[in-house]
Amino acid sequence: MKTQLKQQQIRGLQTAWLQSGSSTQPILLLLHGYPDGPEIWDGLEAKFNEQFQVIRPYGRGTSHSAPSPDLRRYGTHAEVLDLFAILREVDPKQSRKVVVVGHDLGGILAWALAGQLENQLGGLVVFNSLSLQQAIVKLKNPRQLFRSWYVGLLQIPRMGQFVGTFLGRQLHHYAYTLGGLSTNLQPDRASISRNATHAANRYRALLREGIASSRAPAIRVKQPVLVVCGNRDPFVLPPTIDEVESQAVSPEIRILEAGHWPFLEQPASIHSLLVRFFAKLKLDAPNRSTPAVQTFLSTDCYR
Amino acid sequence: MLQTAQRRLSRLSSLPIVTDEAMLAGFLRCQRLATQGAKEIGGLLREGWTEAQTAKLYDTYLRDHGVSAYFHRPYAWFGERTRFDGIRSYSQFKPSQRHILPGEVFILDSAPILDGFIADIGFTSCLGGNPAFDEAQSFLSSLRRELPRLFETQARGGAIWDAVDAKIKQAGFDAVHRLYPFSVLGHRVHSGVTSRADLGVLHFGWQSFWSLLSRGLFGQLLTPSHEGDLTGVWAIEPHIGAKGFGAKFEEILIVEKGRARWLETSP
Repeated sequence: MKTQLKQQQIRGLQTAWLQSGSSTQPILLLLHGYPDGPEIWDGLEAKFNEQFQVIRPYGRGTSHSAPSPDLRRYGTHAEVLDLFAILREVDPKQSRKVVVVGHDLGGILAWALAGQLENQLGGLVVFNSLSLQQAIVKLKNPRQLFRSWYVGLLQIPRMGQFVGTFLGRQLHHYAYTLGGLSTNLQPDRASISRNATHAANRYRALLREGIASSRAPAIRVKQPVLVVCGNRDPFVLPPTIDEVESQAVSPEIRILEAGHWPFLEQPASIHSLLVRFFAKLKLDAPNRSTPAVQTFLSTDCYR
Repeated sequence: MLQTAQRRLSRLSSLPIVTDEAMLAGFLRCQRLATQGAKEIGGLLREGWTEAQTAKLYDTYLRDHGVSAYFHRPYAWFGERTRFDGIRSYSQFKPSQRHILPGEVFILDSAPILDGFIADIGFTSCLGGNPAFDEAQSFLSSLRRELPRLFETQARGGAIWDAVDAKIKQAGFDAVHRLYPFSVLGHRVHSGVTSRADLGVLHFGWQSFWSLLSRGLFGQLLTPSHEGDLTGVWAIEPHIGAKGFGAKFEEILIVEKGRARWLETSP
């Protein structure tokens, strides 16, 4: 199935995504983490592009999605608006269900988007990640704090650019090898600098946003949620069922014998997990009450 | 006694404001951005969203387009809160955790500052069909057509307020703007406002207090006791209440000597 690179100006910034599969199928939205790009999902895309239309956005500042001088554009609110714009481009009538899958920082974004999609959401799958509220609470755990030391380092302005430009190879080695990926499974090194340089700003934006919204009540996702974690993940402690249940009505947690990238390490297990999970989702057209935007009361409706 | 003082103060502080085309273009740019943002976010809104979540996304949209300070931050009101039912204090006007349900009316209201220009817009819509809302919209639409004429024919701001109030009552609605601070039907907006320091109280930026208080306050507000010159740039916001919901529009009206026109329809 042919994959196309799509690009669009969204609120003044070039934003890109990879698109494959039929436009009549439900949408599978795959959100990558750091320092990955959407190519990290090649394996899943190949397995599910007949059942779904697969959309893989480039996160803000990653490769084809332009960086922004404004740190807020890397935060979840701005990225959620970007994703809504992409979804509207892909499905203008918003008549198809969306299954959201996120890994690492993409998982934080996936939780945020899932809370906003309401009944257009078919289901949510999160790999080795937490919601923003969960992550902020989890950082109070010394074990998680120790694992997240690099998040502190990346709070230094321009540190991301420095790391991406000058330490691309070392970062590659550190992130993927420590994360449990053997050399043959690691993405190509050239992509690291492209993906890591500006996207590190996502850590800065998310920490600020997380602290600012730590008291905001969590939005509980009503649709089925699958949380998958590797028990050897050196970066993220697996969430407890209580933590996940505070944000999802019917979550399912699977802890695998894997590191930070379980879908690369154990593709067969992940595939069968996802096939079972997708089979129980209700993916018929959402019953959405569309706002009567054509009858809104504002300046231009009276002309 | 208080009303007499307000009348005198409004007469003293109602200084005519000269507008030029460059200034109007600045106001229009800001108003169009705020309107576009309300349409975008209103179009995304779906069952289950909270007021706080909606207002946050609206704020994000405006900031992504260059807004860094507000006259007032974005408000979102859903259902019965659109007519301020259950609101007892100013802090309760702020976006709450109230969820929107199908068929409910919602209002988005924001007043961003863009390149030194303030705009203040109100956008009312409905999540799905609602015949009662259509009726309210139809009335607001006719009121909007009449407002420029009222500014052209009435000598006092207070008389305009009274005339609008009478029309709302006559149509069987409540005048919800009576619950606004000083029962304002509108207020002046200004240019040359700094965006420095995004600070404020109760959802209002410090720029709002400064721009109104430094000009004498009462001449800046279209209240029942307003007297004095009306020339200038006004954000007019009639807000009506029907059974179970409220509806409003808000946009900039340009008032010149003997002539008034909506900014959006100006040549």
